[in-house]
Amino acid sequence: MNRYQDTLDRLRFTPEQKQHMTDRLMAEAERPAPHRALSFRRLAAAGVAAALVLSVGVAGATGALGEVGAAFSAIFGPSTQREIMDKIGYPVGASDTDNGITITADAIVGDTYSYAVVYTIQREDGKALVSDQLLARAPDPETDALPLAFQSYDAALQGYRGGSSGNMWFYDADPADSAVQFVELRTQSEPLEPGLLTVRFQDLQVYGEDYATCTTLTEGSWKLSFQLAFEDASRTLPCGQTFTLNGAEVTLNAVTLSPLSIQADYTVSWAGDTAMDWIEPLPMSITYTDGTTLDLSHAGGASAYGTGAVSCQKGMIFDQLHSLEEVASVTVGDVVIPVSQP
Amino acid sequence: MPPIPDRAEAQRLVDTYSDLLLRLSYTYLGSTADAQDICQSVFLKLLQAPRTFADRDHERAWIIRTAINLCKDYLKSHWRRSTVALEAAETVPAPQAEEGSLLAAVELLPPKYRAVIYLYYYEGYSAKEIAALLGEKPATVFTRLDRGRQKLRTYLEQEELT
Repeated sequence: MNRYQDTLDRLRFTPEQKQHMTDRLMAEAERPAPHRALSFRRLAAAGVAAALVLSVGVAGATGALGEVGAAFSAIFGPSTQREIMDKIGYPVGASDTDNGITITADAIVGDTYSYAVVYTIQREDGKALVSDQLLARAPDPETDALPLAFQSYDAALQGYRGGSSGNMWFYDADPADSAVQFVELRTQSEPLEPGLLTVRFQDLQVYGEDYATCTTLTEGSWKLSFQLAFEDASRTLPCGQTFTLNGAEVTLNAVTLSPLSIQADYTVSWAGDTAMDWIEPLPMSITYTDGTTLDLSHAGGASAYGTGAVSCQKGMIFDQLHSLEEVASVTVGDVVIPVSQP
Repeated sequence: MPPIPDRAEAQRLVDTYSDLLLRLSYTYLGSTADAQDICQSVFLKLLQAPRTFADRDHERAWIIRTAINLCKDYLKSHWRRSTVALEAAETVPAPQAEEGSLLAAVELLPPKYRAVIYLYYYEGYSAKEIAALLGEKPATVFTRLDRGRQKLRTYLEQEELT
């Protein structure tokens, strides 16, 4: 048995291989989820992206889609209803300029736990921020995310003490202008309270062809502050049901649903001496009134172990926004919760 | 939802668990290239959907269980998600299983036995802990350990006879 162990001991990565793996993971993890950009790319493939984006811009100016809807059309799709956008978001307009580059917070949408902000980044002199070659070099054929990054980025909500997770990427909403966009989607572990959101950006960088290294495109420090005070369109669904998950009793404490996101809070009765994953195995889905279903089982989450119980949260921001009037029910575990219509 | 990637966290995961995952996945799949793929997939899962763990043992257990599930999927459906193409120079050479060695004998076992033998003898998990990791009953793990040992004994005895 010792020789078995000795032989396996020699099966290991070198320090250089570990470093390369970390580099590749960072490049991969920073990519937006392919399906998000994919919907945008499909439009491009159909040759209508430019027309749609331009028409969105015009529509935004004339009010047909709304300023918020125009800002988020590349993220949630141009078909998102204006009523939804206007209900859960608002234009921001805060901006900061450094080293000839202006970053403007265009609009924000949010709900009880999540928010999304779109920023536009452009040069003061009107010249293109990045070259056409760079714009053409998407990190993955499946996405339209640009190979850009900030050397550091931080968004802090005044008074907030909970945890958070999120995703952010760069994209070019309108190939006809010289600006690029940056979007952040973030989900907090604790309910959001109205307050001042302060966002700091440092140095715009561009990835090398190998995505292992970054070089600085423009040095600068930008700081934007604006009020986070959207109307929360979330609905808390009737809960308290119990069901069984992997042999353990689960109590569904709350399901919070909005056009932007969903979050389920549940407690698992578990006194075992071995930690288990109670997030990934939990089936979760939404059934819409047209009969279609959206599987949410892959949503992320967090869990905290207590005495004889595990408190869990599982949720995600949607790829497309739907009015709650379009939702027939939410299923968590084997519990089906009808979403009553007003 | 995918997270904001944290380089320090990615580095910690790789430094702490990459060798373990390489050995475990290699034990299961018999290929270092596939094992490297599993390593990256597990880490990417954690970076894109961060989880809160009660402690390091909980984290380690989740990582092992996730890797085993990915290995199972791979074997069942020839699942392959090449997260990032590996350059030839970065492929970890497979250990040389000398003829008649215990490693060569372990490689002859069915995957479900190989994983149990590895977790028990190399990682030092108890049968009960392995049962929790694999989502199996402890009795099943005891049976696999017992049968695995018997098969190993048979292989090694046959090798000695030849």
